Amino acid sequence: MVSHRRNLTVRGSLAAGVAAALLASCGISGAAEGGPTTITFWSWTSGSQEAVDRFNATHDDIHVVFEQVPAGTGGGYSKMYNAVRAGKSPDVVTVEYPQVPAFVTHNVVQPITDYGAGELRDVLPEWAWNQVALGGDVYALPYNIAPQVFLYRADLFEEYGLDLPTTWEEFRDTAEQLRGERPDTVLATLGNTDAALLAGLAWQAGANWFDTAGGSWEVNATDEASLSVARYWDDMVADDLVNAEPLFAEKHIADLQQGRSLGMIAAPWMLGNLSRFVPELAGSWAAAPLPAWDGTAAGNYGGSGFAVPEGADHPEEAMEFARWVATSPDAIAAMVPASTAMPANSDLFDIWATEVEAANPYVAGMGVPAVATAAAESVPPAWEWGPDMTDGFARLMDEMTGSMGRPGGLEDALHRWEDDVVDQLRLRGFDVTT
Amino acid sequence: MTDTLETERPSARSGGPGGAGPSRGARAPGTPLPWWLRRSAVTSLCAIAGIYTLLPLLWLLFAVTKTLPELYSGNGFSPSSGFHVLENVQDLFAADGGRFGRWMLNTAVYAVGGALAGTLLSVAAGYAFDKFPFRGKEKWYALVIAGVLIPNTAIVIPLYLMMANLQLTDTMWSVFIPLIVNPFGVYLARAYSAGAIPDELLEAARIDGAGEVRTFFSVGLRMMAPGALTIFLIQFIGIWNNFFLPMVMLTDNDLFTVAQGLFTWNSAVSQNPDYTRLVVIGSAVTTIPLLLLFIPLQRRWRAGLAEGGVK
Repeated sequence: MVSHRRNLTVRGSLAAGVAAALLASCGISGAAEGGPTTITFWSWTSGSQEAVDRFNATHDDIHVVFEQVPAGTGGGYSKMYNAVRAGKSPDVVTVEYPQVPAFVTHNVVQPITDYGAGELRDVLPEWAWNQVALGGDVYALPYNIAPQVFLYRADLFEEYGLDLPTTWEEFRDTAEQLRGERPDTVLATLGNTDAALLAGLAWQAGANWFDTAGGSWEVNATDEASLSVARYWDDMVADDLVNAEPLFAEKHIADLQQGRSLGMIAAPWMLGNLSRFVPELAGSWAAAPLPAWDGTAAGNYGGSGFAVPEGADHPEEAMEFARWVATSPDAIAAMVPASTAMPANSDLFDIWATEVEAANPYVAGMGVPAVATAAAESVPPAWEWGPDMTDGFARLMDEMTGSMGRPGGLEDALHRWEDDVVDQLRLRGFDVTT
Repeated sequence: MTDTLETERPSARSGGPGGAGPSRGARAPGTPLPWWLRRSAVTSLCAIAGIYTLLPLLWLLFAVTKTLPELYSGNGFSPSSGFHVLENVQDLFAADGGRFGRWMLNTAVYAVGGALAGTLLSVAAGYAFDKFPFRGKEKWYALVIAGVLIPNTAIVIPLYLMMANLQLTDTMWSVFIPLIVNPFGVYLARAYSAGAIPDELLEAARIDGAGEVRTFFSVGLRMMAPGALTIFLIQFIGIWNNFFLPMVMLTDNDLFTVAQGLFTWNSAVSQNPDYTRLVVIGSAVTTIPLLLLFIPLQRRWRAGLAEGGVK
């Protein structure tokens, strides 16, 4: 499948010129006179259907048709690329932050600066704004974010007499203490196949893997911050202090059920998963700020925005819908039963805190909103993503899966990955410095 | 290697006074077969292949009885603590506003309609290639064979661009039209027609005054029925399991096929893990129509396959 998907994208790009020429004349007729304007919305995120239903029920002038597409790199993005090439653009799509530069460099999305996105700058965290603003224009409207938090079994922490670690150093001490007392239990499970998690940890440490400040792509995944993160986790895994395995796979879930894994690096959207996989652990969990290197920064681990594809028929109406989802308490109320993801809009943090806990008894009492709100404000603003993170994440995942836990494994992986990414981007004509 | 051993051993042992050893290549009666040709070895191989094929189905059977946490805990072949089939199936058909039922219906329409139209087209083309002389016949036929060799995936994106040009993407037609053309079916039909319809019979029909169209429908098509059934089943299964074409063509969730719908759900499990359960139950439910189709048609299909194969 993976190779098919990649082929799809490549072939789509190759066909682009032909398609553009063939299809230049294929305009689509506008909305019927008098009735509401119909717009199409492509997404896969939980809560989308609920938000659309609420919007349609409360708006007469715009009717949104929601179409669920395969999740992002699982096929949704290829679909968007092809649709735009073929002149069949939907009006608004979900795009995750790492993909925004790729969408922009391939001209798949249009700037939305003139559609009122700029007005929201003040209510969005600076780092979230930086994820969607490239080269003076805004290309997506952030609607949810995923500041990292540490989720832990509060009941077992108390029972075992563990102190909540606030720094990564203490985290290691706590892990050693636990391992010494209970050889079958670990402090946390670390997703060893999740490239976005590793990126988020490097982000927390103050790295910036793709710096565009100098006008070119400055790739640097081997700065001291990233490498110290890599060394830290290599040692943790090598010394058997954490489990390195995919999150929410059989082994991890069995460990959760039997209380053999006490915590995880998480983000608000993951609470929905937790409540479904281990419903019996309701009331056992609590959230804490992610342990820090120095200071109290958190990284970001997910999140997405609304983008308007090139060739969309109704960009203004699309943005009106996007703004409604990104600013309306009503939208939050509609989405929280289906999704625990955190809104990007800081004006909505308090409303979200109330609504998400009211709608999800599992979440109530964990203290996630307060921790996540503080974390959202502490994410370093400098982080940027590269122009092809679909390929980048796939490569990083391959590298880290094979090497995590060997002495120097992750560190070497980052070196190899950086070299690969630089080669790939140069090959494709990007201006890259290292 | 084995051959030499088998022929040399008896003659070396007996000393072969005056006796010519068994001729090269033939096996003397009573000579033991090599271990990998013995009945027990072959049976075990078949058993392994059988287990390999059936285990996933067995897993699926167990899985439909489980809740989401149970799917992830314990052995895949361990029984569920409760019997959750009914609620699982109910949830499946209720999920996302009852989309799964719609997807099943769509797939049935694509599969039955596409297989019927595709079979008729293949049989007619195969019959024409076999029975009629026309200019460039073998060249055209070579083109059809070339069509067999090109992987379907390779032409999906060009098809998509074509359909976009015709304003047909995201309609049923965009999936239906490409599916009714099946070069392999033409190939099978030609081979079958050559074996099953004597030219004399068509001659007789023509002498009796039947036109070519009537001859085809009244004589040719009927005699090719078992072959047509084979083509129909191959087409049906192909369309039922087809994934890539609808995946590229369709975005309207109401037009999805089952495979595409399940894939879409499966891709969203990190958003909503409960899709895992729905995908598992959905996969099980999806196999039922194929089973139902196979049971009555199985015997005739076997006959059809054999007849088409031996000319």
